[in-house]
This record gives sequence, structure tokens and C-alpha cells, in this order.
Amino acid sequence: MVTSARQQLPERTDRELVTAAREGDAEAFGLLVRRHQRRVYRLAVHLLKSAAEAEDVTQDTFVRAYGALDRFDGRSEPFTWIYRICVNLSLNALRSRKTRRASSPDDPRIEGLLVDNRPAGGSPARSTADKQLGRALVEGIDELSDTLRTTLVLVCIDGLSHAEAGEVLGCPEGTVAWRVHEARKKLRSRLSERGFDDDDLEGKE
Amino acid sequence: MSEPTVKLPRNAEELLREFPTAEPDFEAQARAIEARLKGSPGGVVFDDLLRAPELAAEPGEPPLPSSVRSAVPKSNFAEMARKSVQKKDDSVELAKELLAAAAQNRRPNAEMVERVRAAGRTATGTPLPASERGGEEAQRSSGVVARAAAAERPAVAAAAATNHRGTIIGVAGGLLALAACVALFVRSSGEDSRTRAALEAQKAAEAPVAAPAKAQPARPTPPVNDGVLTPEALAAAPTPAAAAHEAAKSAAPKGGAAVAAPGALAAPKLAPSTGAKPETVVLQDDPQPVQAPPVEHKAEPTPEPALKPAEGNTGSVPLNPSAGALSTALGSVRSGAQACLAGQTEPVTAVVTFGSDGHVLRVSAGGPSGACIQAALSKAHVAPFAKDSFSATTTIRPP
Repeated sequence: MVTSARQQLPERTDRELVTAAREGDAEAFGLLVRRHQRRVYRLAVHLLKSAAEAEDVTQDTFVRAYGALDRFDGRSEPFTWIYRICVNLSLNALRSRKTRRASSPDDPRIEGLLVDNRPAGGSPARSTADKQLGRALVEGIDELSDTLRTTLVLVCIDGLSHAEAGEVLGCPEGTVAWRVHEARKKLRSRLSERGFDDDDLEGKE
Repeated sequence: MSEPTVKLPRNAEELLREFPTAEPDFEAQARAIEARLKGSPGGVVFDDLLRAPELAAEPGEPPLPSSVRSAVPKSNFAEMARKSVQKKDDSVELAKELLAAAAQNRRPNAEMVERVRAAGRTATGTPLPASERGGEEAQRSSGVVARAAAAERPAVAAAAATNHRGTIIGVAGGLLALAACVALFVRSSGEDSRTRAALEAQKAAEAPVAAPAKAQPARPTPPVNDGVLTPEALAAAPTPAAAAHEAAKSAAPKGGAAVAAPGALAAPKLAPSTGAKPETVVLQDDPQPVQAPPVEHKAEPTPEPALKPAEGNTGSVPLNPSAGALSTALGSVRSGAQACLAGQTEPVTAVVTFGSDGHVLRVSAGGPSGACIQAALSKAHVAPFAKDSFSATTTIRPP
């Protein structure tokens, strides 16, 4: 069933899928889920630092979005609307925690670094340096405030434009740009403290 | 934003763009989502999930850019202007009320009665109501500004209004209070001449007279007999010490006809009130000698038939409703009045006038909700009091 939907609607835009889903086309919504769930999950992972919670939030995001399809006014792109739900759910989950969870080895980002098979220039030392850089980066991201971290994840990790991120966060592009700038400044400072200098284009241990 | 983009080490940039994250089985997750949707499609979605996330602004975060700012406040300037005009209207309205009350309560007979009663109250040591002890205190405790006190002492009332309404209103109120004083001065001058004429006529008719006032000892008790206002009280009540002395002095050279009865010197115990002149006080309608029995004077043809015993002697009916009673009365109907302002942001000042039976005689409230507020406040009720009426100002704030 899902397969047939994907075959029939490969080129349909998000808006068309939303319209179809509003009219009761569950397969269209399934396609929308498959189109965006990875990005939604990554966003949740960086905000929550927990694979299990991120999976829950991802599922919940789409379930809530489906329930609120009638309230989608079409002024923004469907995916920014879905992102907004994801950010709100993630922030709710964060605020419900008594203490902020530090990064741990079962953090999916750390796990991803450990199993990262991307080419690292062929050098085991380089690979190790990249992993250390990744860990320092994760720690730096986690030290950011919710505001800066959310904005940084949307723009620098998920690749949203400032305008799109502004739609998700409900703030002007200029504010998004300022937050990204601040977040990067803090990250650079953090990496510099760990020995990853600004001009060290190769990174170092 | 004017600064160049902060660059991270190249590898860090690559990591940010393609952060390696351990991923679950997304297809299984999608099926799980579809299963949930079939079971309970959507569930409850609260509006806050669809709103912009509540993220705290960062320290140093720039304010809204000019493009956003310019979209907002054009109507706000108009709103500010409207609010400013509204405030001025309120202050003018308040000052008009104050002036009207002052003029109303300065009618000769009413003024005379009021001063007599004040004299009786003071002489017996009855404490003044909170509303008369100080406008600020009454205002702090009840939020009600005593308007009767304002009528009697415009400057004090203007000060209370100033504290209550702010500097602008205070200035306007002060100016109008000054105008009221001038008007009263003019009025009282006319009365003075009439009073002097009456006294002259009286002196001509009755040569034998009482001793000069300053020769009489002060009496601690008020000149009221069995709750009936006496000529002594009439003579003494409105007369501050200096005024009584001056009256005696002015009467003595003209044949010894004295205005003040033996009890007149009780009046100096009064707090100096309003600069009223002693001639406005007394007996201009009373042809009887001051030594005549008090009861006889009760029937004198003064146009103030509704005279009531002074508060200090009866102990039952207060001169004015107390600040606490006003606060309670207005507080009981305040919620109804506040409901009239639902959806509004500006408070409304209302002037509630109580009759001596404690019921509301009239309510003055401006604005689009004025009629509604008037209806709500008119249900207030206080215990009966001696004065003809008593006005109180209260501010109704939106719920």
C-alpha cells in the first residue's frame, strides 16, 4: 500500500501531500513521513541527546501533525510547520527533565562518530583526530543554550536557510543570523580550548 | 551580523553539515507512525505545539530589525495619542467634579451646617474619618478618595487627586482647585457683606449683648444640647481661633454686640479649616439674642431644616461614610464594574455620590463603558450618614 503510494506520488510536493492527507489519503501522509522523518529525527537527537527520546519525539511529531492538519494554514512550508512541532515537543521533553543530560556513550551522535566510515584521508591518526573533533563539537553544541543550539542545528546541521529557520522559530532572519553567529563563536572558542584552532584547517589533536 | 561569519575548522564544518548520527530503522518507524494514526488518528494537538517555540532571547540579542519594527507601531502612536487625550479628559473631568462639589457644598447654609458639625465633632474629640485624616492614607487603604473632604478643603483634595492620578492630573486639579478657591472667595465676600448687614441690623435692634468673646473661657464641651444644634454651636463651629478673636474684636467697638456666645471659644480647638471668614458663620438668620435658650433657636427660620446632630454627640450617624465603609461598598460592586471593561486596557475613573441614606445618588463614569459602570456601581450602599451627600472617586481597572 505504501509502496503503491510512493509509486503514484513520487513528484508530489509537500503541499499536495498535505492536501491529500487532509482529504483522508493516509498514504500521502505516509509519504510525507518518509520524506522528512530522518531530518526530524536528527533535529530531535541534537536537541535531546538521546536516541530513544528522539525516536519518541519523531513519532509524536508526525502523529500530532496529522491530528493538526486542518490547522495548517499554508502560509509556511509543511516541513517548517512539522519542524516547529518537533522543536516544541523536544523543548517540552527537555524542560520536563529534572537535570540536563550530559552526553554519554549511548548518545547517537557519539555512536555515529564511532562507527563513522567516511574516508578520513586514509590516515588512522586523522580518523582519530576527527572523532575527537566530533566529540568536542558535540560537547560544544550541548553547552549552548537551547536557543542557540536549536538555531544552530536547524541552520548548520539541518541546512535550513535563515528564512526557513526563522519560520520554524518564529523570529526574523536577522535574529537567526545573529544566533548562528553567536553559536559558532562559542563553538569556535570551545574547539580552541580543546586545541582545535581556528586556522587549523586540518584539525589537530 | 555585520561581523563576518565565524569560521570553524574545516573538519568541524564538514562534521556539522553531515553529522554522523546512529539512525534507527526509519521504515519501521514510519510504519509505527502509520499504525498509530490508524489506531487514534492524531490525538489531541494543543495549540502551543503549533506556536513558535518559547526560546529565551540570548543576552545581547539584537532587537527586532527595523523592517519588523516599522510594521508594528504606526497604529501604536495613534493609540498613545488616544490614551494621552483620554488621560487629560479624565483629569479635566475629575477637576470639574471637584469644582462642582466644592461649589455645591459652599452654599451658605450647607457650609454653615458643615462647619457647625465639624466643630461639634472636633470639640468632643471624635477622630476624623480616615478619609479626612489624609487623602494619601485613605487612598492607600481603600483606593477611595474622599470627595467630601475635597469639597471642604480643595487644596487637600487636589493633593489627594494628585497622588492618585499622577502629576498631570495633579497640576490640572490644583489649578482648578485654585479657581474654586477664587470663586469661593468671591462668594464668601458677598456673604460677608450680607452677614455684616444682618449683624448691623441685629446690633441696632439689640443693644444689650454678650461680653466680648475673648473674655470668655474656652469650654471643652460642644455647644449642642440634647442633639439639637444651638446658636452657640452655630456661632462657634466654623470659627477658627483667630477668626473668632477677630470677630469679637470687630463686634466690640460697635456697641458690644458680640457674635460669639460663651461656647464660641470652643471653636479654636478646630483644626484651622479653609480660611473661611468668621462673618460667614453665624446668626445672620437668627434674630434671637445669643443668650437665648438653645431650644428656641432650633425653630429659627434658617433655611437648613434638615440639620442633624453633630456626630460627636449622637455617636450613631457618622458625618461621612468612613473610608472602610466606602471601600467595602465599592469593593462589593467592583467586580461587576470591572466586567464592563473586559477586553479593554485602560482603567476608568468613576465618581460615586452617595445620599445621606447610604444609597447611590449618581455615578459619573466616562468612556464607552460608562453606562455599564454606572449601572454596576449604582448598586453600592453604605450606612446612612449625616451629610446630604458624599462623593467618592474610585478607579475601575480592567479585569
